Amino acid sequence: MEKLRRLKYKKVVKKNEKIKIKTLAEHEMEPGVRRDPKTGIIYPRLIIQKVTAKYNGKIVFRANWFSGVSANPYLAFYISAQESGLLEVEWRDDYSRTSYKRGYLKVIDQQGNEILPIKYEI
Amino acid sequence: MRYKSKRYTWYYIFLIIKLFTLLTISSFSNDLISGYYFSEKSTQEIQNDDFTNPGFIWVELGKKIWNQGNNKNKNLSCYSCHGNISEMKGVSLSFPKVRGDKSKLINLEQQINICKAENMKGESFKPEDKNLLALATAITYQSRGLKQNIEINKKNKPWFEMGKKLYFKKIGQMGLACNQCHDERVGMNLRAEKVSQGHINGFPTYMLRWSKVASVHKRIQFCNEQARALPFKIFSDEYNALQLYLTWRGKGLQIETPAVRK
Amino acid sequence: MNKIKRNTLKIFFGTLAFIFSKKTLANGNPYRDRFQSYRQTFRIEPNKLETERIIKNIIKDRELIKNLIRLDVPDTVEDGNVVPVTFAINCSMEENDFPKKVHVLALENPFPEVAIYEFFPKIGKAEVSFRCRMRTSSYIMIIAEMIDGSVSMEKKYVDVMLGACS
Repeated sequence: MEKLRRLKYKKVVKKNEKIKIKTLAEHEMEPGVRRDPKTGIIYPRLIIQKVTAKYNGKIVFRANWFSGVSANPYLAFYISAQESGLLEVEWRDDYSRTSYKRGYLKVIDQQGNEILPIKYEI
Repeated sequence: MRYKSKRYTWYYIFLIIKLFTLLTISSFSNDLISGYYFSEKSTQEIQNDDFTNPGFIWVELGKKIWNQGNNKNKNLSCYSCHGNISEMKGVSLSFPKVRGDKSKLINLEQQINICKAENMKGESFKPEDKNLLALATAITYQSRGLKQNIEINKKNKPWFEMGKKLYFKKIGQMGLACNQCHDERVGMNLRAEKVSQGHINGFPTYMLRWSKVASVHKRIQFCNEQARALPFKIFSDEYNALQLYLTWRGKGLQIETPAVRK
Repeated sequence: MNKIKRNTLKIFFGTLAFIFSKKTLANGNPYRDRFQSYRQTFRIEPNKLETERIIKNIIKDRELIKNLIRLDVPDTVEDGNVVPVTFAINCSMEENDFPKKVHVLALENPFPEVAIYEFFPKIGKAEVSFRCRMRTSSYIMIIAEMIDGSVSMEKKYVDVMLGACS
């Protein structure tokens, strides 16, 4: 079954607001030093190595993790809202398997109009 | 001479503090306190926020399985009989209960397995299976905030007596009974751990030490191992009886599932 | 003929790479750091010298700036498997004033390096919270490398009641 990925943030924000983005991934984060209590075999390492956050296609934050991060890792960081767009978080594990979670962020100016990334001008 | 008196004053201050703490502890044990208040502040903060609480991974998985069809019968799922999962509010409060007219005590996980095997004509889960725990967590989560309230009637009276006997029975190499720690030594330190009152209002709970959700039976097994006693099997009659007694003991406590404990 | 040429070229570049790698190995780069990026399945005991070498390798004899990092960790943690860590770097996040890399180290772990966070300019705030594992009670250290080359360091002691088995 597909592993759970969670992404949470304030959906509608004003321009230049600093928003907190919270993520949670379901993962064992096996550190590679634990033994099976019965057989004594060491479990092979399997962790999430990289978490990348993209905002409108541009990288805004990256985390490189090692075996010291706890299981079911939680991560919270900030971005500043400039324009409406796609928010994308990618988790990449030891075997370069990736999983995504995406969301739409709506940014409004003081009049309450949405600021779009592309401006239509004729 | 002066030195001596100074030393004694400190001794007295220490004694007074000790007495005071003992008094507060004894006053604690009169009313029910959830295990939440015995855990460290950093652990409480993880439970406070639903997003950071890893137990919700199990809740989400359980909700998914609830709507999902069986391997053999695609159109038979929990949803097709019981409707939406939110209608299971308060269901977990009546467990463990005596099954029909058969004189056997079952808990929620066993009920799920029975449903799975008999009504859905599928395979039942193994004990401590992740999917089983997920379903149990999701169902118990629906009655979060309600108060534990189980009735002891004619049907489950013998089981209740059996559980009570087990609770006060000394077991293992250490010769410890449950009540010696969880009634008499509440609030004291057991090596690095604070002894709680041993309520099960947060189960199935996310256990930090295993970084996964564990059931009541699994937790009692661990407790028995710590007291160097031979644990019973999961879903055994003894543990069900004990669970019934513990549920009765925590009558009036709010359900906290999925709680976060050490 | 072509094949022989290709082989000689291969050997030539191979030796070159070998010599250069030897040079880079010789200046005290931590071996353990490099294990981290590969899949590793053997037990390693914590080593104090190795930890010092990793820290030295990050700081590289630069001068430390004070009062740049705010670190929030609980004083006592029940379980070493989950230690909540929050850090914030006091900077304006403009093009010439933001942390390029922030290292998080738990000094008594078998692998002291826990995480490296990379920041980019104009993203609001350099504040991150996450949860890490700790083997025993020890210091948690944050080292921030700013874009202008300056370094800052902050550490706090955490009491762990029950260590993680890592």
